[in-house]
Amino acid sequence: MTLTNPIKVAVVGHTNAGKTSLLRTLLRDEAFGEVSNHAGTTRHVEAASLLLDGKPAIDFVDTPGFEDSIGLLTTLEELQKTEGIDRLESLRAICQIAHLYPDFDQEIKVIRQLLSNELFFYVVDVREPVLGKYINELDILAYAARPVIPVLNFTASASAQTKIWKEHLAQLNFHTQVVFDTVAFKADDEKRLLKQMQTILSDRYELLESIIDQHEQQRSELVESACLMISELMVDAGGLYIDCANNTASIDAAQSALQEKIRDADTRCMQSVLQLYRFQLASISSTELSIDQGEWKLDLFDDSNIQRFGIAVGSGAAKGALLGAGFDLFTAGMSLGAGTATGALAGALLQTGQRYRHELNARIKGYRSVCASEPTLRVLLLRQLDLLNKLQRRGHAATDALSVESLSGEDLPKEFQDWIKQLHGNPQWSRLSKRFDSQDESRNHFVTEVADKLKQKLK
Amino acid sequence: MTFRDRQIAELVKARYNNGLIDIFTAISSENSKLIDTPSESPEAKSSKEARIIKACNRFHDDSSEEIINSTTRKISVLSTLFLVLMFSLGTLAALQSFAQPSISGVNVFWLLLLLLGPNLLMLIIWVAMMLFNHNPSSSSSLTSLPGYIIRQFVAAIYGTKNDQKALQINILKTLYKPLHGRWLFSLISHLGWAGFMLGGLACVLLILLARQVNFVWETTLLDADAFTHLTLMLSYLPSLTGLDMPNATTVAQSRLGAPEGQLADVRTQWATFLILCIVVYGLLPRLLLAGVSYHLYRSRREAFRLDLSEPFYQQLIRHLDPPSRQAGILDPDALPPTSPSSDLVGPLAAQGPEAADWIGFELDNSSDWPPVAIKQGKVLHLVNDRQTQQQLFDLLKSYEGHALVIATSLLRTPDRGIERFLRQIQKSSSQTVVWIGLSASSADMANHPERLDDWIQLSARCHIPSHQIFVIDKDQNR
Repeated sequence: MTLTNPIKVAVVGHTNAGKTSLLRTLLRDEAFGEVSNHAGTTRHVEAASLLLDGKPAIDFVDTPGFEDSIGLLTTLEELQKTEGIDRLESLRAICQIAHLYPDFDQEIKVIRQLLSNELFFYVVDVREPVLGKYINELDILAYAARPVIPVLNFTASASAQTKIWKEHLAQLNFHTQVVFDTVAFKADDEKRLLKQMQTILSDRYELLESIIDQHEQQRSELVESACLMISELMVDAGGLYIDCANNTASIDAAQSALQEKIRDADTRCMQSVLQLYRFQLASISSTELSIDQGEWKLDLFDDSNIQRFGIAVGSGAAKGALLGAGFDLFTAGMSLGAGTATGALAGALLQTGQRYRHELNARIKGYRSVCASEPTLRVLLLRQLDLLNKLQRRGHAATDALSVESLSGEDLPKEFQDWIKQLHGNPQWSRLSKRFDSQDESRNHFVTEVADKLKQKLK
Repeated sequence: MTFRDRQIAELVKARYNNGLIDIFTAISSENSKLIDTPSESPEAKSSKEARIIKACNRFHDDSSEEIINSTTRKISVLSTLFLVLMFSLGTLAALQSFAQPSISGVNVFWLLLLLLGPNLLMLIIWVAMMLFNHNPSSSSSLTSLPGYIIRQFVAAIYGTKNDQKALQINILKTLYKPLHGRWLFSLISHLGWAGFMLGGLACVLLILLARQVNFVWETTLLDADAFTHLTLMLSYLPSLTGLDMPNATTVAQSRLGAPEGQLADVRTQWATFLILCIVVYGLLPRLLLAGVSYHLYRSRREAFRLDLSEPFYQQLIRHLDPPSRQAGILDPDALPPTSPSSDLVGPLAAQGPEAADWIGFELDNSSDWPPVAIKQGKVLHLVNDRQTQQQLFDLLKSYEGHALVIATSLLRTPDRGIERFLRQIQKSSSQTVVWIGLSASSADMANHPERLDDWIQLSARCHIPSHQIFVIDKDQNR
């Protein structure tokens, strides 16, 4: 596809309304600009491009916020009167004599952008009441005689006055307003914003349609990749066995080794999912999910963790045996029936016998194996799924910690129990294991199947 | 892009999966340094796979090169050892036949059976395997038998104890990917058996050159005609060379215990028959099949493509194809930040002045005005826009009160517009003490801890000290 020139959009608004935040979310770039709760955080004009097939499709310009629209509007009106010029000319005039107005240094930077871009996003913090200074900002924008899309930010906040703002904007003839919370991201809002751009910039319809398509494709690819990663993690953790001699010291050592391997894999998976969604590891923190600086802080093998995630463990005996340890211990080979053992002997030379060979060996030599318990694997999966759910709705402007709703076993696919059985029976599927067999095609089928089910379970 | 490039990509993937390199962080930091690169770069036009390979190549260093080379070396050494072993086995098989305790000569059919029999059997097994193994994704036991044998063999030699070895095995796995790996396995197997036949042939030739051997045959159960037919059938292809082959009479004369002694011509015919049988039925088919396998291995290997649906590659593409690119600062901030006088910053007033007139400024709700905190004094004006601001300034021109409270919301961001407003009030009523009352609920205070400090800083810039700022409890107005 041949791209035309990129669309030039200036993002303007009152100081602290969330202009840089909007761009961070639209660009999926947490590192863009600087964000804080203080006024005048962005003091320069900064640009970034949204790419389509690697080429700029929309050139965005982030501007300093309007801080004194009342004073600026008065000055512009005076210029119009004294110089006998129209509104648009007054914008050009003030840029030429900017040195005479040091108090409006930031606003003049915005005006320069008003004169050189084809569309403006006017970002509104809907937690604010509709004040005269905001109306005056819209008056100044109207001077530039370019289309404006009011973007209503922070609509998910409890103190949002979205309805009042919508009514006021409609009274001022701004009917193309779009709700777009930069923190609580909704893909539909973003699509609506692009659709509004299509309505206004009809000659850019095709380009914007391609961007909408690319966003949808990327979203589905992201979910697919993330589910695959989580599925792989479950297969790696569920299929991992560590052998040890039949005494307490060896079992303890094996248990520690098992926990360390699973913890590492769990953290790596979380980090990969964060990177996939382009969130910086250090900026994500969560009290409930216990992520800090790209590390899980809540231990997977901690009793309270399992309870926190609302995992019900069957019987009292099982609870005692499984919760504390977070791992299963079994005498290797005991889980095999006589029939399978015979089959294993017969198949030991062929690949089908491989999964039993080790157990047979263990039975003969009398050692034991440890593996992750079902509740542990439940927590592992629930935690990753919850993180994924949250990332899908997290704007790149969000700076707050991730929160977590109560989770329950119902959030897992009904096939979970069967998966665990299959995983415990296929230690060669675990990449963490020495027995890993990358040529085992059934592993890939299993991973894909699990990923598909996980995708369906996502909220 | 060659197979080797893809092999490097697979190696980088393996190193990442083993936690040995962090390719994504490196690419992210490269991307962030990449400001406004030309959009028409050829890289943007190339395929996803090509870009992945190019990126992976950047992470290919001497140590990973050594992993590939040493793995390839080990494969060559192992293959050579296998060929030598097979050659020796062929020699031994031939020697074994010549060492039979037969008084009158060498049993020609026994010799052929020892040399061609195992070869034929393994050839049948190979054909069966290739037929069953037609679909590489099927998971029957036979499917991955070659892969299994190779893995066990390799694991026994390399072990899987450290990462380097795990990576070497990964490289082997890329070599033995089902689509092309079966042909590499076939190639090695055919060459091995060609070596076996060559060993047998060399041994036979050497013995026939150095010794005079009578060729005989014998049977207990079979009819003598069966051997005649077998010989004539077997000699059909070798006879196409134009050399003399044993005929029905020669065959009959060569039976063990036949009265006539063997003539030199007959011996030569049998020797030619034997040598040509080994070449035509043993050596040549194996060499031919090795050639075909080599060709198919090469072509299938070149057809090998990375599985871009794998999470690693998906992630890599996301990093190589960022959704956006920063273009830097267009209009920098040239003004230095202003800092207020520090002696104006201190503790806040516990409450507002006893007697003062009140101005409401940009309040959150109409219910916040007038505030119940007003003790003595009057409500002067409510300012929300340019017009009401102007009205207030006009009013202040003739104002003579001693104290003014500007009641506003703590939640307003203290901006330059507010600063200008406060300065103007200070200027218009120079004899009046200006207070700031910040209307806030306890939730507002908790949720916006930084805002109070912003107000103190702004007030200080307007020469209003902290002890003239107080908080109005918004909840009291409700």
